Amino acid sequence: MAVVCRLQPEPFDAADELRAFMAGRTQDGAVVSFTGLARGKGHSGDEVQALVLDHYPGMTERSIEEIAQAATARFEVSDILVAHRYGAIAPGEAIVFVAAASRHRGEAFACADYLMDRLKTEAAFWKREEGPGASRWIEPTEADHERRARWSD
Amino acid sequence: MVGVKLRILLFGRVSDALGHQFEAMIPEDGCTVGELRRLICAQSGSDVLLQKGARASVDRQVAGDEAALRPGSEVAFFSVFSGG
Repeated sequence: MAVVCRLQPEPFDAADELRAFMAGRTQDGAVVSFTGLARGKGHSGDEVQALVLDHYPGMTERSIEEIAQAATARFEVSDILVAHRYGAIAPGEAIVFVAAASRHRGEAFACADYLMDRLKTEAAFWKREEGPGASRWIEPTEADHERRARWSD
Repeated sequence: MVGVKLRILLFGRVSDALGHQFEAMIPEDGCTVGELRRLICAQSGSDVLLQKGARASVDRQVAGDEAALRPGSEVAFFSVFSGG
């Protein structure tokens, strides 16, 4: 079992991440991945020039690691990767990439879903949209909280 | 107040009102997170830390209002997390 969590300011290529995660994998029957992208328009349709994620060094890494470790305890997965960016992210660039490998697809799908629902609401980031002359904090929606609640024990 | 300086970090929406960091004076024998919230409110004139959703950490661990602070503690206040 390998759990890899990475926090970085640099852009990454989700296709490269998936390729590396899948390399040499002969004992698993399923890999599910998810890539979250920065959008060029906000909810109101306003132009977004960058999505900026503030983080708290030390605390942010720990929050991601705790979520990933909880996923390994909950699902029958063999490996997990979480890569998350911070800083200014341009529209079209990846914000987050998660991947889960398992012998069967159901556990891999559920694990990736769980990881994202918890990252949205419990990873220590603060996200804001920067547009022409305006900045707006983005916080989890009611739907995000409802999705997170599905996993409550 | 006779006391010691404590550096406070702020993240998310709460930083709009108070900046990203500042120093506050706490009693020499310490205080709780809840007492610090009220102290900051009185010193800054902003009630942002008393509003719903404003959480705290002590030494990078999420902490409740009852958590004890001592000189040298690293304290942060922040609005709701928003990752992913």
